Amino acid sequence: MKHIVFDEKKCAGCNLCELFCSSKWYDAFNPRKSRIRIKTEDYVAPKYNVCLQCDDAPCVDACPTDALVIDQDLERVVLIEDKCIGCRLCVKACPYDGIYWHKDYKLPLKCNLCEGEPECIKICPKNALSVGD
Amino acid sequence: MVYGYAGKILHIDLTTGKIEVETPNEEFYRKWLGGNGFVIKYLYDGLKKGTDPLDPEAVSVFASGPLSGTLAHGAGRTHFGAKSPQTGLLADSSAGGGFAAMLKYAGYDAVVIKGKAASPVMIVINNDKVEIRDAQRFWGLLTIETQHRIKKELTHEYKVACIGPAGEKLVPMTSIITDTRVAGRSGNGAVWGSKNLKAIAIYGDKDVKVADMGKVKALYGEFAQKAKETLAGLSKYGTTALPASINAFGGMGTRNMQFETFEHVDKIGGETLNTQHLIRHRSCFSCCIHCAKDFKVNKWDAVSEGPEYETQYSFGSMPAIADVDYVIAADRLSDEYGIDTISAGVTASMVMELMERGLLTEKDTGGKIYKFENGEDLLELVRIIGEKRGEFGELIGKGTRALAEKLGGDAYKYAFHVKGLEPAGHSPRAQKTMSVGYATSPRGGSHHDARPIEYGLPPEKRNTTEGRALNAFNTQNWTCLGDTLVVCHFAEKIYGTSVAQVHSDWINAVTGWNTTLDEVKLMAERIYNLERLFTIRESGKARTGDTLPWRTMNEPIPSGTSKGMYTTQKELDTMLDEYYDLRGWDRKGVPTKATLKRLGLEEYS
Repeated sequence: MKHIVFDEKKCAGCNLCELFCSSKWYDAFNPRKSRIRIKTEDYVAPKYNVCLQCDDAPCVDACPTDALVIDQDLERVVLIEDKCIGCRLCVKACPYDGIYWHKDYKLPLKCNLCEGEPECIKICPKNALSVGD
Repeated sequence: MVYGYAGKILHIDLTTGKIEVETPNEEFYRKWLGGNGFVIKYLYDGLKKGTDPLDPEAVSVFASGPLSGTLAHGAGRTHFGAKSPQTGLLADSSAGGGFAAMLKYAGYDAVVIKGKAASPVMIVINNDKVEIRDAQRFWGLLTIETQHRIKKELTHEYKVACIGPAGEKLVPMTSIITDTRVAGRSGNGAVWGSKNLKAIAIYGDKDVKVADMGKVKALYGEFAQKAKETLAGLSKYGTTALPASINAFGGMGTRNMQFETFEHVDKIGGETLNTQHLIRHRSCFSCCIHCAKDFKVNKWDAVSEGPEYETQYSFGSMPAIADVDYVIAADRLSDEYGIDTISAGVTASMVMELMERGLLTEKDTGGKIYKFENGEDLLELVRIIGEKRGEFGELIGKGTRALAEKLGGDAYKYAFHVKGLEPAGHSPRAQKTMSVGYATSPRGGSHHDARPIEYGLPPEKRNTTEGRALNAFNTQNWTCLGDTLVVCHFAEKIYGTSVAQVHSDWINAVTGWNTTLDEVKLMAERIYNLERLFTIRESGKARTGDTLPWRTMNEPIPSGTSKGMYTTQKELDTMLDEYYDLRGWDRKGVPTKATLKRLGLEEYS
């Protein structure tokens, strides 16, 4: 399915995507509340983690309450918040470290592609992020 | 709680192991703002007059500012400060990267350290949990390896700042490194070393909340748009494109300031670096410009983040190195040992000139001859400084002033320093703003106080003292405020080079205050004046200390576009008089009682 794609050759590691993501969804600047994570290290290219909206999603299988479901129309994995019990099995199940937990919330932090217009893509100063398969 | 701030300041005594949290009131924050404001406040109040910089009772501070952790330009920068073991004056220096943003996310605005641990330690901050842990196993390691090993033990989510072997050995010209970014100037590294403090690691997952998110995003949006339009060159080259233009201007310090044009400037310039050495662009935390670059050495297997302009000057044109591989290598080596590239390069260049003139001989250097143009000689000088190797290595690690004092005779003429700190690559002969700027900087030869704003002007428009004191006054206040917020001076150029309404707008959007431009200007002046009082208190000098290097005042530039330019004592005096008047200082260079009252500094009069 469609998901955020990352070009490590373009990313310079400013982490602005994390700040825009956390401020959009949680009204605060806090990289640990971002649904996309950029890992920067000296002398190597940055790396990223985000929900890859898997077709065959381990998080969907792991969820005991069917709170995570495949949305075929928008081609993404969505969280039905009312059904989520905050068990964090999805965080553990994700093989890409693309779902997060923060102690301030009772729901996991997971990219939903900003309902079709991802904020991180809009603001990336290096155009290192895009939507792709 | 004031928006933008964490609301807590951490106090750590490494002798007793006591860790305390201070929660200052809003008045404190509005008076001292952050960054160098916190640094000078805690330093002036916490360090007894005349304390040896390496005494356990000396104070070391690092701070974030109100904009740290937000979307502001370079808002991950960290401001470090102490009493300098190199100059005996203020050692404040800021580093890019994201260390201070992480400090804020962990819930602190600043950290004040005193005392001395019995054996090497590191401070580990994980939100509310603060520990002093053993760090013997990291002692002796170079800075990149130190950070890798600490992150491997703790997790890679930590940000680490550390010192290298030079800081451990108390070499005065030492830096503090975080990632590949450096707080280079005036010896903060040795202060950590004297406390047996190898590193500080921070992890935080708390919010930075702002008063007006919409306004903050609007300010960022305007900034990012202007950056795209006007700073494309900085994004592409970083500051490495500057040597070409500064050389054409006639202000590129060469062969230890004997000349101000470098015949091989293209070989160490931005085009050469970008086309033959560039690996990738890098950004500080929260900056859309990404001016940093990883460059590779082509002749052997090495890489460095940098050099930037100041290092192209100090390891390039000053020692007349035409092979940029050596400039890149010396840059990385300095970062690994934890020494300042500017002071190291300028001191190395002085060594080379002194040997050429016969004022320094093989007897002094332990049998070695160091020559201009020789990259291997440059690397060797960096190594003996970094390793504090032998008597000569120990001596030159103190900088040009100490070397001249040791040798006596005419050596002082070739020592390029102001108040004991080697100036950056912005010539005080070719632009008089930098003459009066360096002379009055609390740090000495600092390019982060007064800024060089005469580039582009022809010599006839530069060879005057008129307006130069005002230039220095305005740019010093501007950089002072920037170091308070804490943001990046390169990025800040978008807003001009004076304190402006937009600074007040940023502060108000983040904090919710209603500051005016006048209040923000006053904040900058207040902090600068307390730095001045610290200079006077620790050196016992005011006007008599506001001097320039001998060559700047006695030898005209011999060739190039700025040929014939220099700054006489009389010109300096004219500018100092004007400058002191602008600052509200008496003609001896001391802030008057009325000035201190105007700035809310009565308690310091």
